[in-house]
Amino acid sequence: MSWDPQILVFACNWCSYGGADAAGVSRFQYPPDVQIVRVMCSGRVDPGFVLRAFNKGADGVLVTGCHLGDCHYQDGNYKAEKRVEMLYTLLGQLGIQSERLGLEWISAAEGQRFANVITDFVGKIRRLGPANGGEGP
Amino acid sequence: MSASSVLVIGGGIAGIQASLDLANAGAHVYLIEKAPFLGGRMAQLFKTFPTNDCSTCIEAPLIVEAHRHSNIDVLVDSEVMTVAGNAGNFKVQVLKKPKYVNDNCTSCGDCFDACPEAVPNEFDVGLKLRKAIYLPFPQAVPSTYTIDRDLCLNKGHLIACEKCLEACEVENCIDFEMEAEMLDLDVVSIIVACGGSVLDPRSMKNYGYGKFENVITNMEFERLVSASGPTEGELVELEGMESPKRITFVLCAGSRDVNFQGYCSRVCCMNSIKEAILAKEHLKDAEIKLLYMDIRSFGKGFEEYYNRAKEMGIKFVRGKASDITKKDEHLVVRVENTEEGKIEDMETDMVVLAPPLLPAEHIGDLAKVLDIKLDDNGFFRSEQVNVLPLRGTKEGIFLCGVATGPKDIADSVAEASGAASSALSYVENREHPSVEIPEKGGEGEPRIGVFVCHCGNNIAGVVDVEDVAGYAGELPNVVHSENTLFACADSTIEDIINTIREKDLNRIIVAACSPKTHGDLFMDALIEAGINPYLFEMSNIRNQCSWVHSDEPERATEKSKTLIRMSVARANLAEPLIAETSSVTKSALIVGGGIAGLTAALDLNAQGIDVTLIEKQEELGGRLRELHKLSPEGIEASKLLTQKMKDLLKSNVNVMTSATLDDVEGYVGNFQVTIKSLEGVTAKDFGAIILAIGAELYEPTEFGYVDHENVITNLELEKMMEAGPIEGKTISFIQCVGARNEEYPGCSRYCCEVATHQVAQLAEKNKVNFLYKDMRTFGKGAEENYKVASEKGVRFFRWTEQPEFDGNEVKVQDVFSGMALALPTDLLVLSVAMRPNQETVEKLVEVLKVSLSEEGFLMEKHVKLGPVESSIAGVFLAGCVSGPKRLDETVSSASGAAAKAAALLSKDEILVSPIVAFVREDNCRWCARCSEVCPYSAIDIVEIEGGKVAWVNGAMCTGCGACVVECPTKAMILKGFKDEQIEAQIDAMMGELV
Repeated sequence: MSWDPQILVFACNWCSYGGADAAGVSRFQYPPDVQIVRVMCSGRVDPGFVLRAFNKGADGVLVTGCHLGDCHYQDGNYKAEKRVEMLYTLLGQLGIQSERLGLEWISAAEGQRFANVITDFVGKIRRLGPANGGEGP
Repeated sequence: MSASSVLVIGGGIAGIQASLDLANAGAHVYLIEKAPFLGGRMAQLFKTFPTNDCSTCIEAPLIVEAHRHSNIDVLVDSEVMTVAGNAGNFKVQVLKKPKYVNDNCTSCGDCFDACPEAVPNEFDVGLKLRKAIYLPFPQAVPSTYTIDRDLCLNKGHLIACEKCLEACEVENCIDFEMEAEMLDLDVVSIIVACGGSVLDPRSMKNYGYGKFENVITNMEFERLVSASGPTEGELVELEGMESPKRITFVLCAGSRDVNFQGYCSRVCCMNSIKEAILAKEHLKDAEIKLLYMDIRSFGKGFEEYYNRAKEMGIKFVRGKASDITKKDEHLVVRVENTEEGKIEDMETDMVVLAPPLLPAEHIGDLAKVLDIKLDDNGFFRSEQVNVLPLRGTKEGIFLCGVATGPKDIADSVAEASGAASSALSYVENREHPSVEIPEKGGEGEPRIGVFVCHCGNNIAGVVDVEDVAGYAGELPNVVHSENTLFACADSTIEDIINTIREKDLNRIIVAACSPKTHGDLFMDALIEAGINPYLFEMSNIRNQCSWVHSDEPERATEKSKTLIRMSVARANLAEPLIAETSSVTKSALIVGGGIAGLTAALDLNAQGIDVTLIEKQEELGGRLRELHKLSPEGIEASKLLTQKMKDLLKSNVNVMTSATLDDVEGYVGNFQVTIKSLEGVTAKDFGAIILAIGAELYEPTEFGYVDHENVITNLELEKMMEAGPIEGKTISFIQCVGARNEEYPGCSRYCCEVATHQVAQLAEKNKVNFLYKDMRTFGKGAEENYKVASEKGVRFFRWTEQPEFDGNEVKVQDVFSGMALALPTDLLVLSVAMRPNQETVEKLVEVLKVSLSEEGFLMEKHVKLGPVESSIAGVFLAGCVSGPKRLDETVSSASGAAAKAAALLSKDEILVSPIVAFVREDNCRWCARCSEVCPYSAIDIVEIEGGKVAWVNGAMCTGCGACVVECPTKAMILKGFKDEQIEAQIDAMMGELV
């Protein structure tokens, strides 16, 4: 039976959401297994959101933001980085493979990179199989 | 007192941009367009280079904004008949032709179906039919139908055909008795943005256009591949209607041609490359060839685009097509392949011609009416071609876009803003429309309306939009759902407004493209409908579904449904938000005292704005101080600079030399700047900042520049030429030094023109060799100078492998002759690349957070439509800071930046985004973690009765939301991005919608 993963992507308004737009404009193709939630800054991503997504059955969560040093709000992406690191430890304790959570920096000009990052992440989650340990690929 | 009016002639992208800049600075505008719709030639294009943006998608929001702006009166079907008076007091008569349909029209199209008369539609360059009553294209603005009375049977009541009238269900809509009106307008200044025309290729008999059906023009090709065109984007041969297997693009079809137009039409190389890419994308196996003389990919990102076309397998053949004939079933293009030195007959199925851009039709009549002069090529003449390119030959009349010569969209837009800046200096009375943001909409149960956009077939070609709209209609709280061809079309906006009112909607979701490009447009529609604009949501099903999952239409459709479900979840919890206002410091800082900085400073000063100009060197004038005579007319740079310095002395501009930017705090309208100078550190507040830091010239290490004294740069040659005559030497020039290579792919844009002008001066008394890759003499008068240089005996050699120099001889593998040549050389001149001013750029990134392009120049807000704005609000770009520019382009962009700053500074206050943090005081334990993480010091802990509480300064908060995540007691919320909203989105993604 075929299985398509459900992957949540947080994208910041200034960089990675723009990167997703640019991927579209240039028609760079990537797998349709991701849904983007736009936030103003990757620093807005509450660890609670990530846990909630896994709790509801998401197979992967990818947090994306501006490259380090390029944050529209000075250092929001550094805050995101710290929180994601904290989450890696927490996910382990909860029995969720930490590889299911990703963190990537993508600028508004990097449409190709956006498509590549998504393609790679989806590939990784597909290899890991469903998060609930249910029917695999 | 009402605002002073400015007349803008021409409703293409240049006229629209000029009108918006004027109107946003508080002027009143009459925007006059001859055709029945706004948008001009850009509206006919399918895509724009080098980003392949959908042309309509990026132009439509501006068209709609201009049409809706309360400071702009749009007069379509109108022409200027007479102009009397002078700058500050022009009396203008405008003839407004009747549409025979009044504003009650709902653009339903019932009349169109009923009309018996049809002719080829001009908008689709004749490839599609229209009726006598028609709308030129679906998203035309205004969206009122027009009757072509020359075609209408009811002309002069000879035949009483009233089929349209019978079909129309709207009362008082079609009116055969409507008459032309003569309007008398009082304006203080005039902007001419009349655009141009295109040579009818029938006049070039050798290309067989009109004789062979499959010889088409680039505009016909554009309509053929366009989703909204006659074949809905299917690329077919006109004869046979099959997909062509071989397509040949013929460039310079009448341009750079002694028999037709001697000048370069400037846009065709890139436009043809774009069309070749589109052809290749449509027909992957087709053989696509492009015949060219020189590839002129001189703009930002153009060279990379050209390289991409080559990588895609598009074949570039250097040679100009001499004639086109037909043999059996296919066409034969004869071309002299100058790289292989042979005449070739190339078989092909379709030929796309790039005919020259010409002055606008009847430009002579308009020149007479305006009492201004034309140049030798029949375009409008600039007062001075280098530093006053936007001034007509009569005071108070300004020029922009193709009115002065062929130009692409980005250059036209920069000029349009520049012309607006100049025209604003005559505007004494300014008025800003006051927009009341409605608070209504938050009360009661959510009543959601969903509008699903086809975007022509950009979305509908992949996503089943009807299925998606049907699905959305079933979701809880959704009381209205529909699909629409173009959500951003004026008629759809009108429909959204009416639907909100009729069905009492209080949440709107548009499933279309990106909120970053189109969000504001729809939010304005909510305002007009009387509900709060923050009750709006966008689902980006184009950029995130149809465009990126085009091979998986079913999954793209499912994903679109999920995105809409998530939007519904967010919308359910949306609240009305009211923007706070922020005051504006009415002064501008200009960084850089070269010609760009000086131009921007003088423009703003002419509008009575307080200006401070800082220059890091001891003297003002920048690069212009180092130049001798300027292309194309040979005027001395020092003369122009002296005039500017005189103007500066008469002005109130506060000049600081040996001064640099030290630090910047604050935000648009309220920058706190510290400036370092010899006198120490000065702190001053500004509302706007214009960056005019120029660029650096590449310091060569190649061609023995370091070792041989007889190797100099083009700039060093300028000084040498100024010092005295150079005679009796053999001089060789090498172009593209430090540019168009792997490390640095971009073209530096200025050097071919400068070098041909230099060799034209040197050739009389010296022997000159000129070694180049592609000759890029596209500026006004530049191609003519190239020709002069050839006539004076300059020998041209083309290289692809880098030449070498040993101090005596230049060794080059000449592409034309195929021979390895050794050219004895006394003096070697290197035309060096323009590179970013790295040190200053780094400082700007540090203090202003501006974004950079890959080559290290500052990134524009939008490469096509935002060329003089940076990525940061309130910070504008003048001259080479954003990429290499020629002198007139530098000056135009500086004026353009000044117009943007003027619009900002003309306002007493600006609206601050209401997406800010807010404290639920009951939950707050004043732990101060929020204020510690706030990067903008926007949060303080304040005393209140019975304790303390965190307090957010709304004007300083930027809405990043860091504090919300940090707060341990959930006291902090981010308006518009509440925890509950994001959580509901996550749940909805996983299928739960409450």
